[in-house]
Amino acid sequence: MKSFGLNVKVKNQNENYSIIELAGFLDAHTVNVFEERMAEFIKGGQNRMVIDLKRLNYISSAGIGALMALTQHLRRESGDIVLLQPNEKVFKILDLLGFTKIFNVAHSKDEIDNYFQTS
Amino acid sequence: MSKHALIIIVLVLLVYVLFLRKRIRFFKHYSEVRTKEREAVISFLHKIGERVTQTIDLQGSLEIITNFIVEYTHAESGAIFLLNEEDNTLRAQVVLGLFPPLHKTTEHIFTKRKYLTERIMRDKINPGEGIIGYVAQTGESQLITDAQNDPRVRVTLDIPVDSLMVAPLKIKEKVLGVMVVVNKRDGQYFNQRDMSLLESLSDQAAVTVDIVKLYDRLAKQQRIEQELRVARDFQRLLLPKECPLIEGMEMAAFSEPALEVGGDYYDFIMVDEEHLGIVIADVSGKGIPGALVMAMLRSILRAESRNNLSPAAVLRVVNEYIRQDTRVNVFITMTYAIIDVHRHTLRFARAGHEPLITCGAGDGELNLYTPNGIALGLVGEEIFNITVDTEINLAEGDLVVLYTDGVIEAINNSSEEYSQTRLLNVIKSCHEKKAQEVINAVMADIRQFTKELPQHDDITIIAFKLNSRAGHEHESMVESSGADLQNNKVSGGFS
Repeated sequence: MKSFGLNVKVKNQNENYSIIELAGFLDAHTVNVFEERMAEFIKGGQNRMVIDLKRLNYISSAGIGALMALTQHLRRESGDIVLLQPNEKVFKILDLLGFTKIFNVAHSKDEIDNYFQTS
Repeated sequence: MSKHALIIIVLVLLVYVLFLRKRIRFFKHYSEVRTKEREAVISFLHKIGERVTQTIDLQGSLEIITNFIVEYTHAESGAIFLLNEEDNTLRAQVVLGLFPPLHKTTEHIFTKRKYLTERIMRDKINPGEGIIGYVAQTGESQLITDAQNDPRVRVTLDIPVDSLMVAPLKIKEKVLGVMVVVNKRDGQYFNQRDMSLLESLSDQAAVTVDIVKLYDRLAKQQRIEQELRVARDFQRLLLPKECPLIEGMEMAAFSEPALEVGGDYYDFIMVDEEHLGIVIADVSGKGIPGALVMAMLRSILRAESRNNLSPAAVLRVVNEYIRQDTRVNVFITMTYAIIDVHRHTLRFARAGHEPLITCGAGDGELNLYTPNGIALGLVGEEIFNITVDTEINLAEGDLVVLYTDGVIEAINNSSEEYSQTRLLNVIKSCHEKKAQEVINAVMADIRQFTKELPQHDDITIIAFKLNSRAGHEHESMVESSGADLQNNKVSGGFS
């Protein structure tokens, strides 16, 4: 199978949350990259994360499992996760799985603050 | 010709002869050096070759390389550093002799060799940092004879450093690591000849390191493949070999695991004498963990579904089990449908799985059912409760299709997906045929779409229709699914 990559980068960081952009394909082949990078961010003390999905083309079940694990970890640390602007296809997958009932999904940057009120 | 001129010619000749002799001596000497170097390289390759034919391991090879190089350069101590590609730092892999910490001044230096070595092996060196980082960054070897005055070398009083040589392990301009030797055993300083020897040996060492690293990667890959193969065989054992034969019902199923990712599961369960349960699921984990979750799922389902006519209630129980027993990133999407063959009803619940499709007999009207539901193993009861039962009445000849995402996500070589639309078109075009023929048509269309491209995810489709109201006389359905069938053909599951 053709191998598609994943790019993980910090786009923005303020005292309230970090925006981390995923670009490419989050699947069984790239999920390790994602987990390793996220572990680094968590080690850095960040527990409120906005995962920018605008440039994510595809997410597989392995990728969703990793997102779920991350969410639960952050919630245990009284943090949380917001998924930002998933494309139509990714949103459809998340919705089918019932994930839109579990994750916070923001369709624009303005919505982020609804989830991350400065406390 | 004058006497003077003759003297001049004789002098010139004399000087020329002297010059020539010197050159010959130089060449002779140089060629001796080269020969020694060549001998050293050949002997090195021989030694590495001997080792590699026994076992190939990176650490073992690095030890031999370092030992050999320290020995041949007559150094007091030496170390080999490799560049870690992940964090781009250098780390000592093998340290021999009383090797000084060259890149850092430490206030308290352990003179006990064991502690010192441990410390050096723990330290991470950034490219550009100290002499070792310098060589890794520039890829140029360094011969240092006045270590005390070189700012790139930090010298501690406890371990005196007179001279040292640092050479990169380089493959096609790519630095893999650095080889360092410190202080000559005879008290002399290292010279150009030693440097040249170290460079040649480091070149060979780089090739060796490169090959062994590649081998390491391949071996790891092979272990993973082996594990996946075992998991695949195991998975196959869990799937029914045949569809149950049920009066008044005609059904077919097809499941093909992909080479790499496996996780599709389906099953037929006799709920009671009049109800047949049909399960289709996709386990997110792959390999052994995925197969184990699947085995667990199968046992729980078989235990919980008996006499329970609410699919959602069964899914709730399964959800609790899966949630307690699996890691958080393993989840299952599943649709569980219960068919009442006599009343022609189908009741089902969807735990995050692909829609259930029906195609009406006659007009071929397509319906996609996506009732609320969350994948199994993710959330607690209170949220999972949104997963509810949906009941539909089936007319005679209505076709019902269940499938896993591998069907609509089959990819062709332009990276396009097969898509739900295309699946629906095929279903509509042949919905009046037998269930098995519908599946054949869908599979043929997928193959035509993906051409020679290998399947990258499991593909599973189940199709069925109720044919007539036969069976009204309350004959019990023929139980031919499950354990009986699988016991018959267990050996056939291995490939």
